[in-house]
Amino acid sequence: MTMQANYAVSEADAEQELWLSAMFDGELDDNTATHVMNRMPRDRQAQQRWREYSLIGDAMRGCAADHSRLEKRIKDALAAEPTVLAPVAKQHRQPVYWAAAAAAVVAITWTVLSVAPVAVDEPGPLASNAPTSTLLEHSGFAEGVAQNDVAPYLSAHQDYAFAVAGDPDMNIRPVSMTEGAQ
Amino acid sequence: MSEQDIDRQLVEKARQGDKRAFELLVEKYQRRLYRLLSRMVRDPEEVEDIAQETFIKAYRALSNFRGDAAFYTWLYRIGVNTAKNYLAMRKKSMPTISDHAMNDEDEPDERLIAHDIATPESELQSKQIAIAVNEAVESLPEELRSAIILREMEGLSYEEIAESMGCPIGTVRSRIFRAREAIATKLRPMLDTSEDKRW
Amino acid sequence: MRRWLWLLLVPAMPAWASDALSDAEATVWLNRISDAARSVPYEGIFVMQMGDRMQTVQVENRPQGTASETRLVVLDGKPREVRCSRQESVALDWNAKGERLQRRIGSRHFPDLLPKDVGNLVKYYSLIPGSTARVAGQDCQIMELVPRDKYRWGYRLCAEQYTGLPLKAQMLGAQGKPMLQYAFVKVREGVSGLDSSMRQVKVPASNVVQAKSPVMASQLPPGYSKVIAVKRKLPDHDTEVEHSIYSDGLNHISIFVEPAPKHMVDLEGESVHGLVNLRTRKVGSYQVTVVGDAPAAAVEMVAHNLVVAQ
Repeated sequence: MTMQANYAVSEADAEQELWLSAMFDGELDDNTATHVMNRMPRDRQAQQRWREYSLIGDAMRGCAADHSRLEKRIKDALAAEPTVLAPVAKQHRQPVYWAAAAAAVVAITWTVLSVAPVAVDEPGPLASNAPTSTLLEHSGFAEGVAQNDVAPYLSAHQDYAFAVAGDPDMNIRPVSMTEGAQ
Repeated sequence: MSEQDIDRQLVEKARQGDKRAFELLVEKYQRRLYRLLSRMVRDPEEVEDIAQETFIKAYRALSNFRGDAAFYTWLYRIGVNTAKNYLAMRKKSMPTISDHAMNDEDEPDERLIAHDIATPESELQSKQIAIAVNEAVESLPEELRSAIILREMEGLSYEEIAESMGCPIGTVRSRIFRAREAIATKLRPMLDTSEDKRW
Repeated sequence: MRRWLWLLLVPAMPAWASDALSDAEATVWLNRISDAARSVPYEGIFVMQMGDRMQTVQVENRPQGTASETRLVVLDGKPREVRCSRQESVALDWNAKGERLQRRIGSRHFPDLLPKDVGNLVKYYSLIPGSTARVAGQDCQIMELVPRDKYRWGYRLCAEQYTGLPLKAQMLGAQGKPMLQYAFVKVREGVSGLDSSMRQVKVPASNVVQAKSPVMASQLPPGYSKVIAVKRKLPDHDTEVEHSIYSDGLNHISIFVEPAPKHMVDLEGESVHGLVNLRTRKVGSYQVTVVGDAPAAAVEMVAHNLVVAQ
């Protein structure tokens, strides 16, 4: 084989392996992914790469225990199993709730982006469980206190602490405190 | 084609009689499954038994796998149920406080920890693999290191990595591939695999 | 034989009768429970009760790399969804004007209640094992985090027997009375449905500005440290406020600092069920509001030791 042909073969191999790496991550278009996957049963190098990519990812995530014995056990057991021949699976629909919720959220997300994009430099609102009532209504004290509406503080704090909690009912009263040292 | 689509295609191939396709799924998920099962069961040999049984059960039940869930989720549920049945049969469980409290001898605290406990030989091999991978990652050029870390540790998509690194998706694809190749080159002598051996 | 007799006895023993675990054992257990909430894939529905209010929430958790992506959907009352992913968290609100996507500054939520680093918890709480229990049809181990001082509320957790995932959690006030409770009504490992929507949420550009507050706490209750300080706009406020959050890992105290209005009144308050305490006071030319899901002693220590930064 000439040098040129060698180079051409290597380049094709490198490209195949690049596609394999992308396919491993689920980042390849359908046609190319199907092509790569169809080659896998005959391509020992690709199978080797697949194994290495799995191990590298697991090792980086702290999950690299050596299971070569387990792997061998599983493959030996598989070899002894009667080959499964099952009909092509029907694509079952997702349960209605999840499908509807997922679709609704996606639709809402894109709507939000197009209607009210958040500019990078502009400070936008931070999330808070928006209060549905002014808590001071429950407390009954001098009208001057109305300026110190505590509900937004509670909401902002609750949003951090609990994520999904509503605002608690509060007993609030005016007091006299000495100022802090300056 | 997403990762879940890849898994589904492999399942489909396995359903059509291609056992090697199922072996690819074994390779991809065996360590993760082992780790999760070891949260439930202390004895490493029992964890291996359960993991093997899980994969075989999954293979036999391939016709029942519905494409509406991720393969790993389905595999994991089979694993959890298998482990629970196993433990129920042997009347063992995770160390409860009562188990601990009634022991007369002082046992080391590690007994309460359920993680990848292995034989001394394989434990050494595991550590060596982990060290080799981490050293290889550390010695990568910065752009390759960032790309592989964002992918494997942070689980970002190529698009997200491209945005994060300010480069095209094609560059991300190439960097991740080159990072993997560089790490694998250092790993291969330890795995004792060659092109000629069937894995 | 002795082993089985002991197991028969344990359920009858009240939690307080058991000895606290050693620091080493407590660390192991808390790490396991803390880690489970992030590393176990699960989906379910839980109920949250605060006083006489209840809320039903659907949750799904997908481990992702070394972190996880969690989605919470409030099923009753005002529609709301929260998504937590790696370091980010966003809330989706549906209000009268339509949808609103906002960035959050935290991702505390049931069952991911414990911090990643449990060292501080071991220092300031005793971990006392209780009996086994059954929640949402699954066996679990009761573990109680008992405060070692008066500056924090305790927790009682029910950790699933096999995975350590909290299935039930109660925040306990004085005399061990539950003030806040979470409990799964339905939960299972694994997440059904395809992972299609999580990545499609484009998180808005960060509007979280790191802030240096003009008013600082000169003394904090033991074990509390600053988590984050941001500048933000609150509803119905003309100016931005500086919002700092302090925490011991389980209890959280917020300090809000803003220019004091002309007619300001110092306030104190507590929630009717006792969980939340609040103090508002004037410090220099600022109005400072201290809010905490923490005992009054902790909130007051902060509120009474505020200084204007030089």
